Amino acid sequence: MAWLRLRPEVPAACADLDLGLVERTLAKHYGFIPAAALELGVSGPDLRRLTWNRPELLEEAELECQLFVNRAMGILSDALHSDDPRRRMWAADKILSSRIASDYPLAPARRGGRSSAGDYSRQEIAVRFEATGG
Amino acid sequence: MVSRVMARAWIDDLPSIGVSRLRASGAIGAQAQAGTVWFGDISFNVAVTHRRFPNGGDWAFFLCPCGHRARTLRLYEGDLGCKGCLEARGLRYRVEDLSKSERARHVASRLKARLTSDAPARLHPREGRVLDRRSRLAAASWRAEYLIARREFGGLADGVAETEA
Repeated sequence: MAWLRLRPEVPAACADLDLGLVERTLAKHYGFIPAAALELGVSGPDLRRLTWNRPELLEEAELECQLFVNRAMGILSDALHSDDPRRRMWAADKILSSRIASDYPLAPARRGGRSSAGDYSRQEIAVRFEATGG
Repeated sequence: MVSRVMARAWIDDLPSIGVSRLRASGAIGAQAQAGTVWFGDISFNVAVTHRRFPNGGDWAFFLCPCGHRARTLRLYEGDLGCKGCLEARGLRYRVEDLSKSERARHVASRLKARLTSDAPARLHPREGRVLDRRSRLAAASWRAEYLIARREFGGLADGVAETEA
């Protein structure tokens, strides 16, 4: 298949690694390549190239990350629907100060005065190019 | 009062022109040596160089007034500059001034837009493909989402994990 040729080769330093161990280590570090590479005794770029060759190695790490987010959201959801008003207030405060509420009017202002990370004031000027001699 | 952070200019926000799209669209031909860049009413004459490949293809670059090749030139205080010129004048990219979680938020919002877009990222997309290296971008995206959650709900999920263990 043509698309297989586009994949980078497995680095020589990673050729002897147990792929199961690599997958578990990546999951343990939530897909953070430098920390996983340090534990496996290979360089970060080599491990990154290995994951480019075998993207499935990151699947377990992805699951771990999603589980982490889901666990946190589950706790907030439970607190938001609890009978204790202080827990409800705590959960509402957490949610309002998080990215979930970044565009909500009651959410606190972010550093730099922007409401969300993608909301920037790019200078708009008409730009064009005319080639000469070719 | 305008804060220091608000008043600061970032390289990302400056008006810019990239050579790659111009080359892909044919505005810069394979033999082009120079051209004129217009930023509104201000114009600059810019040299263009090519990195030729044995298969006949080439990459085009602008030649910055500082002498370096550059894929993107930006307008700053009436002058044209490449990344190196702007950094020498004290400007930085926006992400350089962000904390780890803010950077993750910035990355996540950009990646989400790219991953969910139906429009091809390339000007001339490869057949049957909207986005190249999708799995790598997806991995970067969920890693960024994790970092955001870790920052914003720090300790919550860890506490559950410890209780469950």
